[in-house]
Amino acid sequence: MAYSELIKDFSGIRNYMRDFYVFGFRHREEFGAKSARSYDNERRRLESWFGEDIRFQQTLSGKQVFLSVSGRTAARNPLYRAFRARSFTDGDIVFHFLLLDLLYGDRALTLREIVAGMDAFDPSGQRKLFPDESTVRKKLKEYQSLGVVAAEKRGSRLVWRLARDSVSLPRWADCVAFFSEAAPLGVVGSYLSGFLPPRGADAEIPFRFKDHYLLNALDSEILFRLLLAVRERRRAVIGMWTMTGNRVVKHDICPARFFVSTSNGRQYVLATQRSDSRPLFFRLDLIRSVTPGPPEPAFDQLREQCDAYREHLWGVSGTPQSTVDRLEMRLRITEEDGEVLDRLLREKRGGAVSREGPDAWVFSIEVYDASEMLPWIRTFTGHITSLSCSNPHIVSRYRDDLNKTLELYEGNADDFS
Amino acid sequence: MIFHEIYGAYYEAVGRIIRAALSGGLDRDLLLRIVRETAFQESVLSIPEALESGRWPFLGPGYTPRLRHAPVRPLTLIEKRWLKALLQDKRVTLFNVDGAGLEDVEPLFYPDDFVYFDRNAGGDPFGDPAYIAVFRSALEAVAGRKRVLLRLASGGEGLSVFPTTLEYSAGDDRFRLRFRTDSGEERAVGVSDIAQCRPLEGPVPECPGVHYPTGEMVLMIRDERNTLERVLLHFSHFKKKTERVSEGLYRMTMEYEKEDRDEMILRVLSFGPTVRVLSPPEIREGLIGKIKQQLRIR
Repeated sequence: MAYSELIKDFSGIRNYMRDFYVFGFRHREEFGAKSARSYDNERRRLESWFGEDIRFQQTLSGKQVFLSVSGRTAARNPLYRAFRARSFTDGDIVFHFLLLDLLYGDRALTLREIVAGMDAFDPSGQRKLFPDESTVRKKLKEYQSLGVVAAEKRGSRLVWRLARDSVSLPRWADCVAFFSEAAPLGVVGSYLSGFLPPRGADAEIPFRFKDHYLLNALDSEILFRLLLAVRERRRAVIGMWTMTGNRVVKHDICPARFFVSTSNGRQYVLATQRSDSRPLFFRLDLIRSVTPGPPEPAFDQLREQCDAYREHLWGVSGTPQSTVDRLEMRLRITEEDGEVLDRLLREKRGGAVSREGPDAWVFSIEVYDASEMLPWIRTFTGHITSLSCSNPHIVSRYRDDLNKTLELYEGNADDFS
Repeated sequence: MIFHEIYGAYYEAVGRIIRAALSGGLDRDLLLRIVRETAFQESVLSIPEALESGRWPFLGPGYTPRLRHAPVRPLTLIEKRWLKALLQDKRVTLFNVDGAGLEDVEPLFYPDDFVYFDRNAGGDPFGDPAYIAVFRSALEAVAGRKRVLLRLASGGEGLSVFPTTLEYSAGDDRFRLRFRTDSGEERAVGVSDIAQCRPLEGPVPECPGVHYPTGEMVLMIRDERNTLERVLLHFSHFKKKTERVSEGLYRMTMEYEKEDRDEMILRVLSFGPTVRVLSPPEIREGLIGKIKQQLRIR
């Protein structure tokens, strides 16, 4: 098939984009593509879509391609551009603009009148564009489901007109500019830019975003389908890549809530499986497909079950039926270290903080999996006077890691071992 | 579905081209410019040919329009439902929008569908009228490239500054107003710390864009405990490049904002012994200092 910069299915290029953006060190041979041609085509598409944001580096092992973007200086998520690259047929685009022209304003036409109007437009006069009514009918149904056209009964006639739209979009310009980057499914906000007064350069957009994780844009279609399942109180069958990425496994789930990390951008769906009613987290970036399932009569109870599970979560790890880890961390925080105390109070989540003395503070918490807390505990290094946990592995791991970290810097500069 | 050609760059480009033709000003140069501005780098190889050959029969001879009306697409259901969802968000109070035209649609999502599980406590007071007034005044100044007089809640003299951007932190759920002083200093203040933000007449800097002085940090990463993916994901929002040094060992070079130096120390420290700072010295020494301080406590 001839190369095109447009694509029919997003799932294939999703992995390339993730790899170029997050990793960026793999060479062509490492992608496991069906052929070198597949890799070349995907790389060419990404270069066309992302322009200067795609960089190259020649190494002894070959050429590396990577996507290099600062989330802080970019006012708009560049990964959204990929969502504007859906392929279509000549018939699709001609139908689109002819329909908008025929139904301009408040005009309402029957199916036959629309077909006749389109045929009249056909310069070849050979009815090449739409050979029959059924194709136009299918497209009208598709546009009806999109919400672009509406069908009305007028007497015995069924007529089609453009959907009525009274949203005053220019008033939403700043709101859309902000929430396109700060709300779920921000890619939809990026679609609205065509309706708003043009803002050319990023410099004209008044917002920037600290620690702005752009990558979850790639999972927008997955998130959208799962959100629809939640809105419609349905089950869904998800196809998940295994961690090695070479197999897809199906799970029949009832989705409840979506967990998002603001410190790495990862998104998860908290759901119950048909095979096992315990709540489980599924990473959205590992979900390849979502197929809607039947309505779930016990939707509310299953959602409540998931909500009850949240009580002893630190993040997204832990088994709800196991015993909890009880952790206590004592810290020395002087007046000069005021920002350390501020941070402890802001970041404690479900834990408790109390004062034991002039510079003595204690943080305590009960969680399903205290090992998930280790990265956060390490950020208080320099202030921890004692650390105890009902899971003794946590304390020994913290101590071992501390010693090993110091050895890293006191040993040979090039020796990581 | 989210991924549909109706939202595509080609449809947007062709819509703009048809509108230009109806205005009477379309020629080949303008057509190409619209394609370059709206679509992708290689789109100039396909869109002009499709229009000029008549395969997409919207243009007549001399780039005249064959359609009679400027294409106006109504918002799709997904677009309306997304806007309706924004109206449920507590931060929407900062903007002067309402639900007119969205009465008949259900929000695509609700705030409690999402749990930002590691978001810090104590976000900005988005419902406070005083905060909203300051925010809107700051937004107007940033968008309109105007000077403002800032008075802080902590008191003191007002400061005449040029605001450059409103920066939002999802981790803190707070806004900061970044600005430039007359001495050229780049500073930032929490919007919740501003008592008053009043527009002022006055000169505007020649390059009013956002500037973040940056430095380079180099990390060596040993891929144990799935560290490589965790580190690369954690720092994915920075400009960076990564090289494989040897089996299981990687070097990552990234650009960070110098004002975040202390934060970088904590972020690297959180990964433990599988990540090592090679440079800059101030981050490396800062990290070593914390470990040694900890060992002294023990």
